Amino acid sequence: MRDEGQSTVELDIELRAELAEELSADLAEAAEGVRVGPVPTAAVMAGGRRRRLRRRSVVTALALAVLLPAGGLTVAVATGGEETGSRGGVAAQPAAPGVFTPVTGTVGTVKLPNGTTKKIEVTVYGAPGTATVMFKQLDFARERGDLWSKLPEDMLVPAPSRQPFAHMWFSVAFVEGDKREPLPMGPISLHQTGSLHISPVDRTMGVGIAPRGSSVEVDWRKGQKARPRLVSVPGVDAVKFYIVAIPENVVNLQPIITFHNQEGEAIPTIPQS
Amino acid sequence: MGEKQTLDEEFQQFATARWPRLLRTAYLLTGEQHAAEDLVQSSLERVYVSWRKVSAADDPDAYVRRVMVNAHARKHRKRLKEYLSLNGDTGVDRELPERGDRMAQADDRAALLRALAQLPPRQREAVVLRYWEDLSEAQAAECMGCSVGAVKSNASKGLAKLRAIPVLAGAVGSRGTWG
Repeated sequence: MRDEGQSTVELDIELRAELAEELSADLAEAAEGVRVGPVPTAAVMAGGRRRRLRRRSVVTALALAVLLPAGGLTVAVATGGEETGSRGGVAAQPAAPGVFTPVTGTVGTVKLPNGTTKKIEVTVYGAPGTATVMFKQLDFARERGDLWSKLPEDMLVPAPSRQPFAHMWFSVAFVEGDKREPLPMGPISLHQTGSLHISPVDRTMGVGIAPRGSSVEVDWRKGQKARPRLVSVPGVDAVKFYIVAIPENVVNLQPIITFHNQEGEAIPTIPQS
Repeated sequence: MGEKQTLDEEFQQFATARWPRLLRTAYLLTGEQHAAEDLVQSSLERVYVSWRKVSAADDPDAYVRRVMVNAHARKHRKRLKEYLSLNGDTGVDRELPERGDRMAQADDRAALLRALAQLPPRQREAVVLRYWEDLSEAQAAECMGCSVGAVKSNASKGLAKLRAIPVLAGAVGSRGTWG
């Protein structure tokens, strides 16, 4: 009986070795199906530098403007919104955002009613140009943590009428310590100046882009007015972001936000999305 | 030449040399060209961040594999299931030249990739590391961050499931024995 059992074990080991050899060969053949293109070392190193910068990022200035005096929620906008890294005292020239090389900048901080303070980061991507590249880019952004991973498809892909391939776009994330949390918002085209994009779940704040050369004013209709500071991110200096804290009882901020040109005239804007 | 520049050049050489092999491993893990490229790229980005330490380590390859397997476990589990359920195939067939024997080869590759994709991630990782990367059980355990026993169990279960999948048995049965 022992001999039979021993033979069975030996046979099993032999069979397993043979199977493993066959499987190795089949896996090698399947692996040959991948196309090995040029090695993107520049993109890899750029991505690595961004990760390093994100780790070292600090807010350069805090508490410059309290937007809501009595709302229980305050937004303090940082001066430049730029991230800084230790570079031996030499400031690196910020690059413009590419299709797969986005730029990220801190545009403000938000203090929530529970007392926690979170940084607000905006990440800007270059225009994808084609639908194929756009889908790959959106996947890339989700995997990189720039877009909410649970975003439904209809929120992920902008409507065709907006010509989503033609424009740079941005996403928004909260950052608390090492934790980075993309807000449940879709990608927002940079050409949507004047609109305000409110985080749909917690509605704690909205991010918008001011029309070029304009100032932003929020009229709270109780004699209180505020002028949110305009902030840009490195590499996209021409685009001015603004942040507005959302009080609990306000549903639509569009009627109380106005933009003015340098002469003080009101500028018409496109609808809120 | 500064230290930073030297490190960058070392990293470039390392990434260039390892890219094809890492890409093939990633392809077996993810089952899709673009996902594989993204997985390798994001893994190498992480490696670059710590390159000073990694390059001084005894086995940088083991570190890179571990980063990649961890990244795969975190990010590609749900995505791959969604992709396969939406498309019904891996897309490999479309990306290969449609000529003679290469069609049949592509079918076999696609069948194996689909079968791999049906395995739970840990079993897939164990199978790929043991039978493609040719790692020992101890090396695979270190890479996956688990015990040797867990690697044995996952690889064994994965192998058994691959053999039990009809489409794969059909694909490899014509030329192989392990199905």
